[in-house]
Amino acid sequence: MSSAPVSTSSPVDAPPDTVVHVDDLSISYAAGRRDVPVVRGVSFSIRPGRALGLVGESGSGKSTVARTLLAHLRRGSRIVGGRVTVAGSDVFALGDRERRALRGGTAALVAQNAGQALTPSMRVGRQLREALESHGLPGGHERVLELVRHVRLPDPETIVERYPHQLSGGQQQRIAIAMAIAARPRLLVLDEPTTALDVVTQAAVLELVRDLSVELEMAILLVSHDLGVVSAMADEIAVMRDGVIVEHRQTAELFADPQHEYTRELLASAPRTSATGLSAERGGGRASAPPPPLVTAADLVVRYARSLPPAVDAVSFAIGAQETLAVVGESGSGKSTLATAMAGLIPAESGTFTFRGDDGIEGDLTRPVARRSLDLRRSVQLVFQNADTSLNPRRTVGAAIARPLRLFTGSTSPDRVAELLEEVGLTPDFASRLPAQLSGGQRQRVGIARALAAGPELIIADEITTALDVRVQAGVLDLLTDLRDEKGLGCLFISHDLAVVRGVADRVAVMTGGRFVEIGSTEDVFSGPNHPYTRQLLDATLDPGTTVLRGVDDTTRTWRDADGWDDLGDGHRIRRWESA
Amino acid sequence: MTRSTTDATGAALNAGPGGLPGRIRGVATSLTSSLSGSAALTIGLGLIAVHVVLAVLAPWIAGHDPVATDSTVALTGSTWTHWLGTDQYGRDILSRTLNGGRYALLVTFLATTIAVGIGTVLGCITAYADNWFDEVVMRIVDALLAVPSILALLVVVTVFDSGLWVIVLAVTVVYAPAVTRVVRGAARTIITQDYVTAARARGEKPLSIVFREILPNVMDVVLVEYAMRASWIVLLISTLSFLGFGANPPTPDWGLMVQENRTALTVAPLGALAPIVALATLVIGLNLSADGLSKSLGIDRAQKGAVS
Amino acid sequence: MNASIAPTVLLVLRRLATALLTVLLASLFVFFAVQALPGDVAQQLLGQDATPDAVAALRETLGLDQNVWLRYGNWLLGSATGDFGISLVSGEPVGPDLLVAFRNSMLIAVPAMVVGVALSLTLGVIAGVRRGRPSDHTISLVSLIVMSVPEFMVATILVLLFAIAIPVFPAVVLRGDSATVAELLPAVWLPAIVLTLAMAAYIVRTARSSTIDVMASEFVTTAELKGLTTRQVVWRHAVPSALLPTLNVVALNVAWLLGGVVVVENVFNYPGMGKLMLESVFNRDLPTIQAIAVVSALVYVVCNLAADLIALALDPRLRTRRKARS
Repeated sequence: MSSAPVSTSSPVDAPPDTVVHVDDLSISYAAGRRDVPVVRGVSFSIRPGRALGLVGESGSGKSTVARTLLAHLRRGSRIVGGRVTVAGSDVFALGDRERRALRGGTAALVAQNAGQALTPSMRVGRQLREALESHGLPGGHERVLELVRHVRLPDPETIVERYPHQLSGGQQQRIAIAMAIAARPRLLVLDEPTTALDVVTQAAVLELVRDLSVELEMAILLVSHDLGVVSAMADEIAVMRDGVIVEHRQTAELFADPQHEYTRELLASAPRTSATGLSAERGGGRASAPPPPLVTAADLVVRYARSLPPAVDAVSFAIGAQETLAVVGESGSGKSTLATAMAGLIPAESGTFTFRGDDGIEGDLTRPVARRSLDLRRSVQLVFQNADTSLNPRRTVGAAIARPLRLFTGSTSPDRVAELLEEVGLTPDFASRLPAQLSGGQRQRVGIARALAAGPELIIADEITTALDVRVQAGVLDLLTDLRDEKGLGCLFISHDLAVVRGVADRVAVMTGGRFVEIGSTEDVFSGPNHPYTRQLLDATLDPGTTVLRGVDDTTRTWRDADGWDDLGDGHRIRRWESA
Repeated sequence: MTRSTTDATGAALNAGPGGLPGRIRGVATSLTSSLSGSAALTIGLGLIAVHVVLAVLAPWIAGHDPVATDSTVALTGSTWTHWLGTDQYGRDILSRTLNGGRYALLVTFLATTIAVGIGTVLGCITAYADNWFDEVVMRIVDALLAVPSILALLVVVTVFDSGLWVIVLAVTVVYAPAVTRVVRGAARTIITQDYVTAARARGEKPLSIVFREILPNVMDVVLVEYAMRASWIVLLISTLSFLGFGANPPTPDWGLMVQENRTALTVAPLGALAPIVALATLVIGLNLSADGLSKSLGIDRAQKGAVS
Repeated sequence: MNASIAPTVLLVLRRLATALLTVLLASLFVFFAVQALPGDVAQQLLGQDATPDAVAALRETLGLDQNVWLRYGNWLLGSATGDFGISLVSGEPVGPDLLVAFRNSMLIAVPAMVVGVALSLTLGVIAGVRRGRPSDHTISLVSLIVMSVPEFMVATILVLLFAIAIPVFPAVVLRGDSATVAELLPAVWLPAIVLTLAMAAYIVRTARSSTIDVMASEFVTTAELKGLTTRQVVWRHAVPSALLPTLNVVALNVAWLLGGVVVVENVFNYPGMGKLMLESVFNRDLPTIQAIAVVSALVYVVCNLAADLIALALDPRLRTRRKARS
């Protein structure tokens, strides 16, 4: 905070050809009787056809800044100083009519979650028509269809008749984009536009946005917490922290030579699919003595209801002691169902699924939790994706950890609770706090401590870092790796993010449509050869610093399952496939 | 990604009234439900507290015997001996008003506590069960809700007389189903939370999950329910008295007082107005508390089907 | 589109079945509760000094000596065809009297309902949209006060103002039970106004808070940032979603209105179902009490059913959800 922004292309007076010019903008938010500054002295400008990326962690004020470009402030916030100029006029000095012309006319917004940003009670065609008509454009049926085609949605005639909830996340986001470009704005503000999307869909949507910005010569402000997304899309990047831009550079420069300490920290924490030291080093130590598997699954089938197709379809794998198996796939691939079944929250329909622990504990994991022995329940512990909801808000951290201690070990001592807190990198005084007094990362650590309290041999980690900021995520992942090594825990690590997986997993399984299509050591899976689906995932994953978007098609599937598997050696197996 | 940060929660908890200037305007606006939760809650609880204190102290501070008649001073206006005047039998209106809340408050307290208690436990259990038991209980609850509450009360009171426990039990039967429904709704959203899943994955007993994980987290909804139901029950009980089915004359009771003094409204308006003001302030206090609670606890009454 | 029709129909059918079950259960409760009351119907009909023989004979004619379930079945079948039995007071069938009382209640309830719902939803939405402004404070304050003052007082004050101080409307209905619609018309105004006020307060408050919720939602912000006018944002985008949580409250209030508005009818001596209810309770006229309870339950269930169906029409998401449970 104390250090001045490092800036090579310092934005001084607005050059005449800029679409956006933000000058020394400060915003504060009234929380009770205090005025909390949320944005302080932010300045930047964007020229037509150029893209600026605004990067920062949650609460850095990046969204607040972005929305001022449409003269929008959160209730309770106010401008303390500075000016926002879009297309030559001060947006906060506009009258009602001019402000409406600005919103959606000169500048348009695409919000994070299109599922919530589209009006649920209105057909999407009507919402598109409204976007045209509110800016004095003809809103005929043909014009609406044209918009839908423009965002590359198939079968526009059907799409316009749908309600938002009848579309997939990617389709919803494309409709939101279509709505935004309806009046051909000069500026497009994208507020975390792909955060809620699968990686393949994300790549396709980003490609669409980039092509549209070239075609329509729009200036772009892209807000994201994801360095990969920003680096692939933006010409220059501004890094925000606590309401201040700490560094503002050309994209390539920023990644090659980050000046500010915070930027360097962010870059270092970001997971990448390109090789990191960790797994290679571990892989070497382990090849000599393959440990006996802790969990073995063969032809496992899990189904939510008789009438539905199986969510997990004939999956086979093994997890060794001290081994982390990562299961990767898009949402709906069945990866979380697999975790849920292993935790015994949904019974398996068929196949074998057994646990065989070091100290002789054996059990059948196809059984629901109510029919599992105490020892088996103790040995298999679950850590949840969302740390906000995984802790009872009315119980202290100490009580949350003491509960499994009492249940599984029969005794609860404050010393043991303190010990567990220290094991996960917290201090013993956390025991008396309530979850609401903790940050996201701290809550997730408590979640892990609660799992450790049982004294497990296997941890099921279901997307445990998805809701965390990148620096916090790095810390939690390190903790998980340390625990695996020190305590010899096995781990089923569920994630949608290949980059995250690369840093923690010994082996990786890729899942789609309820089936595994590829499984192998982390090294092998990332170096290939791969199943086409894995290839697609890898291509779509954006590492920080990538400046290219590899063309990824999220609509058509280029392969279909064939019988049997190909064994590439070292346990690297790929499901056979044929081109479709 | 929008993440609920500690800051946001802290801000929500601290969110107090905005500016101080304009005291009078402040008081006027804080009477409305559009105000910050803590102001409404303070005023609401204050009103309730005043009522409770007055009801407890009534026999000592009233000054007159509330049932003593004196035909020489019937229907006087305000005098030095009778501040609020007298009714047609010469009874002191102030004394009757002060004493008139005792019975209503006691019944309300007992009935609300029992009804909300039963409804809360039943609501949590049915929500967690989510099976045939849930289905059966909810159908019964629906059917009970369909029978008009005032009719049920009237019948019970005429048949069994209007004794304290008869009314308390009747009110409980009438209101427990409604509370069950609301609490069940709140509990169902709690059950989807991961900490309940975590308890299930540990293999905790169902009752332990209901009482340790679910119940503490619906307590905010229950508190709001309590304040709101109490306001209804106060009104219901005075309505019963007004209709002649509740307290028997000459007992001092607000509803009964309004009924008795209604015809003399043009001559001695205070006879009916004093009990009404007393009743209305109590109900406003309860409603403000419900509002304030729901606001400071972050519950939306509308979503929970406030008036079921 | 075809695919979405079948589940919708199923949903509606399921909802209808639940409604029917609720009415049946309610009738069962009412019947057995009334049976459990002390006192003997035959004895009461004949008076205290009737001979035991006469009482026994009447019991047989009334079918009171039959199995209780059989009697329930007969009563239920009778009720379904409008035959609610014989009044213990008048000795006449309950049905026709009840019908007249119900019609009279409709006369004040329907206008109150139409005006009250429209007015209170509008006011609630306005207060929600203009949150924190003077208009919101006024609406909220008035609704809080109206909600906290019992109906018998509102009624009394209105009588004082508009029947005694400024005699515009008659204070009470003098004709009693035999009044025709034309004779009642001048008398419906004050009761209808009291009812409107009483129900409006709750709906205003619910509509206000659900409007505030919806106005804070992302899709409303999106609509705003599309460049729409406030009017378009509110009425096209926010209101359909804001009405959803309000529907149940409206349904409950309407059911309360139609199901006999005891206090108001008592104050105005208005010959509706509420007054009939009071009289029959006072006279322990059990068949009439049973009939009123069942009719009220039916009204309650129909109102809730209507609310659910309107919700289904308002929110397309409800139509495709697998399990739409109450």
